[in-house]
Amino acid sequence: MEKQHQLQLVTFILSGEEYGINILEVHEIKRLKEIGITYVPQAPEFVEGVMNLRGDVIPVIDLGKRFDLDNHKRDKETRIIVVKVEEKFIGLLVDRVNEVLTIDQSVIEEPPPEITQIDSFFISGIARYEERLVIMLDILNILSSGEQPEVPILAE
Amino acid sequence: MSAKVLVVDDASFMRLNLKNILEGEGFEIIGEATNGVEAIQQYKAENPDIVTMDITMPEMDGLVATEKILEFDPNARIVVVSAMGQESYIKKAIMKGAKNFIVKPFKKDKIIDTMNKALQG
Amino acid sequence: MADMDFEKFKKLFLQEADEQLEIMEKGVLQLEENGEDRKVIDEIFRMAHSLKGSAGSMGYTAIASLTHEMENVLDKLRTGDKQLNDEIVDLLFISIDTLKNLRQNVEKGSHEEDEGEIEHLLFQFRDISAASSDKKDIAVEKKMVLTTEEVQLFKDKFQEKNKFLICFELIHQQEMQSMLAFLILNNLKDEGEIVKTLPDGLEDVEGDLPFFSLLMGTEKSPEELGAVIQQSVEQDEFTIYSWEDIEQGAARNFFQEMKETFVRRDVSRDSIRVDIEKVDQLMKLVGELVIDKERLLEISKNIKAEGRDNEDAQALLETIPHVDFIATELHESVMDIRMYPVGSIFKRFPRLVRDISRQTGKEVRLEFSGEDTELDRTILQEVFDPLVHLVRNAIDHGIESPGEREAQGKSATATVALNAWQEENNIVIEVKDDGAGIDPEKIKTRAIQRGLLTEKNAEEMDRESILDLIMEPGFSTSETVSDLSGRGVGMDVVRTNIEKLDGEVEIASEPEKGTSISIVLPLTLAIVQALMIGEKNADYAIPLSAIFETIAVGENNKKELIKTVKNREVVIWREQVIPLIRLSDFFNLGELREEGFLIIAGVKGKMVGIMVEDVRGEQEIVIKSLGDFLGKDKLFGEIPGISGATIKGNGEVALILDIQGMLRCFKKGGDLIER
Repeated sequence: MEKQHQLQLVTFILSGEEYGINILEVHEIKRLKEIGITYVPQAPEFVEGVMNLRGDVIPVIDLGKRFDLDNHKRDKETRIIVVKVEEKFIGLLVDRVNEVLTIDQSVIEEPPPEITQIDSFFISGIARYEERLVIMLDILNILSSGEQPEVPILAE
Repeated sequence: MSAKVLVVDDASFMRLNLKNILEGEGFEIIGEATNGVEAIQQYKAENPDIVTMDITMPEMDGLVATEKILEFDPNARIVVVSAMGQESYIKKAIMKGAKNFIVKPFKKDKIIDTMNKALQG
Repeated sequence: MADMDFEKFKKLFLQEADEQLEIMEKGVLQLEENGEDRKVIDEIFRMAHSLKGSAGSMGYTAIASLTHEMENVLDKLRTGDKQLNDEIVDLLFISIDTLKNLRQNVEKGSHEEDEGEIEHLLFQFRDISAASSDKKDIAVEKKMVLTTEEVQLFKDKFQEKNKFLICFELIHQQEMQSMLAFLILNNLKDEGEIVKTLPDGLEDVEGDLPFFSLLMGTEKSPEELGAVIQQSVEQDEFTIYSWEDIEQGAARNFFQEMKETFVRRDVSRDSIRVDIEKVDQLMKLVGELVIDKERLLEISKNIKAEGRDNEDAQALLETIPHVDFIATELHESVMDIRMYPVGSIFKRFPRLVRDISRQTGKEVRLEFSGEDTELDRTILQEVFDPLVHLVRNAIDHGIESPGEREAQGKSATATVALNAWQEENNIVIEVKDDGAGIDPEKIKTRAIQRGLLTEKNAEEMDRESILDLIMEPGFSTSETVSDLSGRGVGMDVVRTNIEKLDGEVEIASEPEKGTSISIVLPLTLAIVQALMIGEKNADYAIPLSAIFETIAVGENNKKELIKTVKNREVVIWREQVIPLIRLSDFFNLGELREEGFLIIAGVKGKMVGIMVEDVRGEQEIVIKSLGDFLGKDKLFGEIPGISGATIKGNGEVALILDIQGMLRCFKKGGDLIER
C-alpha cells in the first residue's frame, strides 16, 4: 500500500481543545518540573520566560496566553514542547501532550474562521481524525512579535 | 640555603601552582599576598629575596606595587607574572625595574630558570 | 578524476588561492610603501609560482598564464635585472585584482571565457620582461650599516672607553623573544650607551625575534656586561665582539645567518584549516566546562566552610583549582582560534583608501589604532563591507578637497582613522575623519522635507538623535548627496547590517571639525567576570567591568546617600549626583525596600546607582546571546536593561543587566523615559 502524503502530528491540549504540530518541527518534550524557567521582566504577556536547552538560552512561550485563552493551569501534566523553527529553538508551554497521530493529507481542511477560540492567523489547517478535530498550528505565525501579527519575526 | 620568595597573585590556585613548582627546587615560600597593598606590607615584614608579582589584581595592581616596593628597596628583585598578550604591561614593569617576567601558562623549567637568573646580580 | 575528487581539489585550490593572493597583495602593498625589498619580492614570486602550478594542474589556464607572466617579471626583479618602479607596482596590483576575479569565476564555474580578459595584461607583462635589463641592482643586505661619519663619531665618543658589538641568537626561547630583547636592552642601558640596534627600534619590535644585535660604548668589561646579560639569557645565546674583532670582520657569520633568517613581523606559522562548525562546537563545550568549574569552585568553598577534613575532601580541594586553571586556559586557547584581530580587516584599507582618494582627488592619510582588538571571526567578515562603506563615505563626502581645507586653515591632507577598542561587553570600531562634519540643522530640514519628522519633534530632539536620522531609510536619495555632504546614502543599509549582528551604529559630528561613526558589536562569545545580584528570588548578573563600587544600604546605614531631587531619586557618590534605579521598580517586580545593596555602575563616564536586594558574589559567567529573540521587532521586543543571559551552576538561566541600556533611559535630561 502506498504511503502517500501522510504526516505525523504531535497533539496536545490547550484549554480543552486539541492542537497539533508537525512532528518534523518538534524537537523534544520536557516536563515543567525538569527545568527552571527564568522570568524575563518587561517581556510580552505570553512569554513565560527563558530556559536552558543544552547550553543555549531559548524562549518559552505560554501558548494559552498567546492565543488569549482562559484556564491556564499548571500541574504535573503541563509540558514544554521544544520546536525548531528556522534553525532556532523555542519552548511552547501546553496543558497536556496527547499522542503522535499519523494522518493522511486528505483529512486536512482549510480552517473556517469561526471554528475555534483562537485567531485563525495561527492556524494552518484542521484535521479530522475519527471524531476529533485537531487544530494544526502554524508555528512561524505563532512566533511573530506580539504587537504586529502580520510582520514576520525571529531575526532572519 | 633556599631563596625566600613572596608570591603575589589574587587567584589562590595560581599561588598554589607557583608554590608547588618552586618548593623543592631551592625556593622557600615565606609569604603570600592577594593584591598590591598586601604585597607591599608583606615585603616590608618578611624581606624576601625575590617576589613573583601578578599584574592584574584588585586594590592595587602589580605595576604600581612593583614601583612602590622598588621605591623603598631599590635592590628588590621582582619577577612579573603575566598572561599572553600583556606585552605592554611587561614592558612597563621592566621599565619600572622588574628583573624578569614569567608568562602563563607555567612551564616549570622556564620558571625555575627565570627565578634563578633574577637572583643573580 | 572522479567528480567527487575534483570538487575536493577545487575546494582546496580555492582555499589556497585565497591565501596566496592575500600574501601577494600584502607584499605588493609593502613594496609600494617601503620600496624594493628582496625578501618581499621573493615571497610574492613564490606565491605566484605556487598558484601557477596548482592552477595549471586544475586546468585553469587563464590563472596559470597570468601568474606565469607575473613570475617572469618578479624573477627579473629578484635577480636585479629589472628595478621596481610605479608601473610595475600598478601592474601587479591590477593583476592581483584580476586574479581575484578569475578565482571567483572558477568558483562559479564560469571560467572558460577568461583568456580574453587577461590578454592585455599578459601583453603588458611581456612588454616589461622583454625590455632590456636595468643596471645590475645590489640586493639589500641585512647587516649593521654605519656611515663613515657615524663610525668616526662612535670612535671619537668612546675613544677611551670600550666599544662592543653584542650579537644575540635566542636558541633556547621560542616565545616572547622580543620581550627578552626589551629586557636586555633595558638592563644594558644602565651599563653604557647603546648607539645602534639591529633591527632599528628594537624596543618596539613585537613577536618573534631570534636574531638581534646592538652596538654600545661602555666603561664596563665584557665580563661585567656578560653577567648582566646572563640575567636574561644563556651564555650560548650571545657573543660580545670588541672593536678590533669588528674591524677584522668577526661578526660576518652572524649577519649572514641573520640575513637568511629574515625576521618578519607576521612570521608564517604552520597552520591547519578547520571547519568553523567544529570550532563552534568546541567553543560551546568549553563554555559548559566553565560553568561546571564555577560550580566546583562553589562546592570547594562549601567544603572548606564546613571544615570537612577527610582525604577525599582534601584531594578535591587540591584538584579543583587546577581544573579551574585548565578550564581558563582552554577557554583562552579556543577563543584565540575563533577570535581574530581587527587588524586583519584594517590591513585591507590602505589600498582602498589609496584608490578612493585617487578617484576623488582628495589627499588622505589613514591611521589605525587597536589593531590587536579581537572579534569573533564571523562577525569580522560581516563588518568589513559596512566599514568600507563608511570609509568611502568619509573620503568621498566628508573630506573636503585639499584647496578647501587649506582655505579653512586645515592641513591639505586629511586624516581618516580606524580605531578599535573594548568597552563593557562590546567591541567598538570607529571611523573618524577630520572633514567637514555633518550639520544638524541641514539634517532637520531635510528630514522634515522628507516627512520623517514634524517641526515640533525637531525642536525637542537632541543632537545625537538628529544625527541618527541619516540612517533612516528614505532620508537620502542621490539628488541630495551633494547637499548634505552625501552622508546617508546607504547608511540605512549599514545600520541594518550591523543590527543583524546585534550591534549598533553611533554617529557623532561637529560641523567643520569632523565626524566619527562607531560600530558597537557585542562580544557574544565571551566569558566575563560578573557580580551576581539577587532581586525577588531571581539572580541577575552585572559585568564587573562596569561596576565601581558596591555599598550596603540599610536603616541605619548609608541611607543619606539617597536623596530625592525634583521628584527623582538620586545617589550622592564621591561628590557626584547620579541617577538611581531601583531594580524591582525598573523591572516592575514589586515592592520597594529601604534595605539592600547599592551598585554604583557606569559606562563611558556616565554613572548610575542601582538598588538591589542582595549581592551573591563574583564569578565568571559565559555570555549567552538572546539576539534571536530579544530586540526590536523580535519575539520579546526591546527590553532596556537586559543584554544577554548566562547559565548558572545549577543549570538555570540568569539574565545579564545592560548598564548602558539603563543609562539610555535617562538620556533626555535625567528623567526616566516612558518605556
